[in-house]
Amino acid sequence: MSRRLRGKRTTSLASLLLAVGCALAALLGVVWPRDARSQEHNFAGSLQANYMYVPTEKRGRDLSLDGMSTELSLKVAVDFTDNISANVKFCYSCHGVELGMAFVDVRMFDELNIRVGRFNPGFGDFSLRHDPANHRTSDKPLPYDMGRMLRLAEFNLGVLPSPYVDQGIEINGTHWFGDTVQLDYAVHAVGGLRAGPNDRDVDFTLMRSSYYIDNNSEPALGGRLSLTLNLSEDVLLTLGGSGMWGHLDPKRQNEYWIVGTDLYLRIASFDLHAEYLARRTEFDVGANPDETFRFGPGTDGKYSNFFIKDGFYVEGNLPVSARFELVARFDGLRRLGNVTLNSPLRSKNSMVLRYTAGFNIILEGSVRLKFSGEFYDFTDFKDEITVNAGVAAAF
Amino acid sequence: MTTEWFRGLAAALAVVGVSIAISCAATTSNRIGDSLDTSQYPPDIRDAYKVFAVRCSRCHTLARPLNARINDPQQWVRYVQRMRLNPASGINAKDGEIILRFLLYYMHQRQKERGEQDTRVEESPDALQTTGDTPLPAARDEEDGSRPVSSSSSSSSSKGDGSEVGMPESQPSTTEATP
Repeated sequence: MSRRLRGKRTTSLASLLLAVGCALAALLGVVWPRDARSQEHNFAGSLQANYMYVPTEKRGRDLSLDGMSTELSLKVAVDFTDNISANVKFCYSCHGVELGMAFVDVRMFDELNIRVGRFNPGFGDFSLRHDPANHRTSDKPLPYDMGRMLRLAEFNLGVLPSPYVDQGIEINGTHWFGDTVQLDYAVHAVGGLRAGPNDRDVDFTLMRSSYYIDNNSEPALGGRLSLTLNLSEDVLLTLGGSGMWGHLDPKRQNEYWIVGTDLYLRIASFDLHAEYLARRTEFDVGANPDETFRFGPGTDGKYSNFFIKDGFYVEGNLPVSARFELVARFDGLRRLGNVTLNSPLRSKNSMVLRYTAGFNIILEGSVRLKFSGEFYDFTDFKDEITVNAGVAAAF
Repeated sequence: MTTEWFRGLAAALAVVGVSIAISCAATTSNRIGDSLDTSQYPPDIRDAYKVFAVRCSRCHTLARPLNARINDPQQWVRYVQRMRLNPASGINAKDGEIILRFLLYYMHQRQKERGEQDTRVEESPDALQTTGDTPLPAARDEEDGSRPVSSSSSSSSSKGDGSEVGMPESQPSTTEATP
């Protein structure tokens, strides 16, 4: 049996075991007599089933993961005491069952909380509502895209695909200055983004499906600082900044850093979210860059050993009635830097802008029907349109 | 091609039509879509709901807490405290208490609703008519909802039976209210 086939079988078996374990844990939670539980348990979850249609292409699958996709998450939180809890979350999506979180949370006081395990490190505004039942569109903004955008392979997803899950430790806290000003901080040390020795971008498949371990024995460091102002009962403003740094490859030769800034404005029931993210990613140019890259060296005769990927989004949500809400979003993604000869990107400055308009119908309970249309404006490819129809529920 | 576009347009119009019909549909509950009709609630609970609606929908839909099957006041104390400490929550200590006051009142109302539903199923049709028409004791509701609640650890770290967090003494225990 070939090594590749064996690897695939092992991965399938691991996924099956994970799924069976998840189902057993959920079953146990339901059938276990209440009196026998020594701590408080709370089960929660969400589900989104979405159909994406690409009317401008005969075979949308060539550009994206079109058709029906299902995202499911099941979470259990256990409170050991008022200050110590454990959270475990399983997710099912395009690449099977994954462990979304498994961490212990120790809350010493408002200004000092510690999370240890596998979790979403604090970065940006979107990570607070990355669950499909919590955000209003069918897909994520381009800087956070994890596989629903068109030309996802050409761009290699977004700047920091969400949810970004990693293991390590995070220290965070919040402090109120009076009743109006809230200051939050978070610092973390986690495994970090990963790539193989000869990769020229992050290999996001190494963040999952393989072992949930670091590849270079060096933690990536990051942090976030945000300021929230309760300007009035109905008006809330948050300004935030985030950063992350680490090495991608096993030999720790290629580093990356990501910076982000975000704004959130709430006026009565109207929400406005805006973010900008940029990632600088180093790679090994190799021994024969002339035969590797499409564009020649710079004025100094050297080939750049990095590229920049940045992206932004502005999104507004307006509930019109108790059952009907409007969503509008404008987002973009850009890659600046040299490309390899076999890359489908044709320029040093490849960009996509996307215009999204949609509406949601809120049914009884927490079930939401989501409808949206998107117009993609590519610099290197022809423009495209997508139509999304889906249902999301939280339970 | 033209026929395909017309089909697509017809399908889109059908979806929009069905959606509008659903969005206009009446409901038998005071939970409408993602929000709550609080017109029958005491004034201070209505005010507390406004704070809850503005603050808690920052990160998630209101349906999450409104549909949560939590019957233990202690659990709400911990949840509100945890949410308050989330980054950029915008929930200060005062708002935390207001939100908790609303959630405990709401939990109590839901428990009563469920208790009434169970009673209706179990009792005879004659008795059903009597109990079904009996209005909720509004005076007691106001008293329950307006009682101060505290999310401090000193008041929330004991039995977890609701007595420390302003729940009414006459309220049935959570195990009784839960089917």
